[in-house]
Amino acid sequence: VGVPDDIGGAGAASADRAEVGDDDFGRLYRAQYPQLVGLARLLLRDPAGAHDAVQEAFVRAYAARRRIRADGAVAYVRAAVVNECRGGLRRRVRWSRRAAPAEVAPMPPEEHLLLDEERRTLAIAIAGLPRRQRECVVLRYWLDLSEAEIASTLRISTGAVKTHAHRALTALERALEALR
Amino acid sequence: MSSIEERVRSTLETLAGAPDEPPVDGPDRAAARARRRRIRRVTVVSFATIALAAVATVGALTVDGDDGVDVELTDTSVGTSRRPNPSPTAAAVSITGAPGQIFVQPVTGCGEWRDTVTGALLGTLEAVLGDCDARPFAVGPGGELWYSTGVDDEVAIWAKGPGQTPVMVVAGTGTAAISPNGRFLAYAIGADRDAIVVRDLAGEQSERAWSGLPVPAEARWSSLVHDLAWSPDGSQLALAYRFGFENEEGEVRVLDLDQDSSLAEATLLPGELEAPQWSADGSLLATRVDRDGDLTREVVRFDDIEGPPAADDRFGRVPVVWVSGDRTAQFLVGSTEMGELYALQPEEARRLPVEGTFVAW
Repeated sequence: VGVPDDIGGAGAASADRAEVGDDDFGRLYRAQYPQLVGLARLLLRDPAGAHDAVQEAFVRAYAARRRIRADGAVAYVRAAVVNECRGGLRRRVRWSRRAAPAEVAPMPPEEHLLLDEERRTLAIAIAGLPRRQRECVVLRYWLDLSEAEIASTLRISTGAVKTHAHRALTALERALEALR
Repeated sequence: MSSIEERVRSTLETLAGAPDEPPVDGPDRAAARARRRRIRRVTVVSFATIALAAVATVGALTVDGDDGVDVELTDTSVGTSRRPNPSPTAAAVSITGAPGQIFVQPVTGCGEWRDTVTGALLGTLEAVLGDCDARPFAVGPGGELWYSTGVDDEVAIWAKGPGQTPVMVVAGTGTAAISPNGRFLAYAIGADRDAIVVRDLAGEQSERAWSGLPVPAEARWSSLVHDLAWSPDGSQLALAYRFGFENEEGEVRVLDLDQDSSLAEATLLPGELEAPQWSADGSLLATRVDRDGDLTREVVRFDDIEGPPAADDRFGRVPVVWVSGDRTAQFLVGSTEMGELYALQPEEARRLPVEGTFVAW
């Protein structure tokens, strides 16, 4: 899945240190929204929550647009979506702790129907990964980000990205082996 | 057969579903919501402005956020001339045990030491250790560099004196911290890294241990205790631990080392806190606070932990560091999620001298 780093206009490319104007913001919104909803959906596993997270991230980006460099706008919104998803998970966990003993969220029925057994196993294993490992997997294999881009998004070192990604893939391989 | 990467990619594409078009009123709606939010944030912005103005008056580390990560180091003891950003990709800035030096951790690449006055490069972590992934956390009184390697609950603690070969001091811990006088090493132990050991590094290297952390049954984190912070006088230890589903919830307790009490009896700070950092006089504790999923940073007045925070900062999202700018004032330094560095002066922070040459990261 390609990520256009230019926010959508020649003006942005010619003024990469300029702030993000309202027109640029609109283009950024239209160009990035679908992919970011996919990102949020994978991190949250909640379609409605995914839209909310992306909307909220854009609200934050809009409020900060005069501080954002045009060439960093996509990265800014992407990081904001990841942060919103973390917040959403915390709120969900807090609510579930009050309402009932904490459990791993069951697989949504629509996901169950869409996936064959192997993918179902992988989906459950991905959902059960520690947060950082799951974020690294989604950013690497859904958004096709480089290790440096993932490190920048998650504010961790590239070494940590390698470690989390390696551990995640090892865990996922084990999950598949257990299936056989 | 496809590789695990291809299977993961395929699964994620299915789970992500078909692309959704943005709501047609999205940008307008976002703008309207942003306007409402801006109004709510007026007081916060004003506070930040006042705080930065105070920094500029007495000197320390100031920030120009217009260029994303610009940071200027100023010190009234040597003048207030503007100096360049020590590292254009800095993700974090720390102080070192050596006066006049600052340690900069870039987003990518090796950490490096720079002169706080000129910004000149003094050395890199790779040159000292031959390893960029090591994480320095202290400089001891003898100039030895303390650092950790590994992740989660398999962290190893190393010490390397000037010109010496690194020595592994502890293996298989979750986190560790050196006391301000450099004599004691505190680290997490136990199957869940839910107990604390303090080792006397002098003489026979005796140890004391504390356990009994009240851990919820559903705790799943591989290392429960993930941050340790010594009080400046070495009499107390703040420990941050996390628990629960997604491992996102945490608490901070402060253990009085003169007592033989269990960790369950240690003082529990209000809120869901993590990454504690003491101020130089031990009266303030800066932490990250989770308020209903919204991470903020606050400065807790330790002599009135139930009272209002001495300062708060809704924009900070990374661990904080206390910096003694002109050696009489204290400042919080942090960065936003996009790496903007800035300083914040807590209200009523007392002006105290910083003694000795050892300062925790």
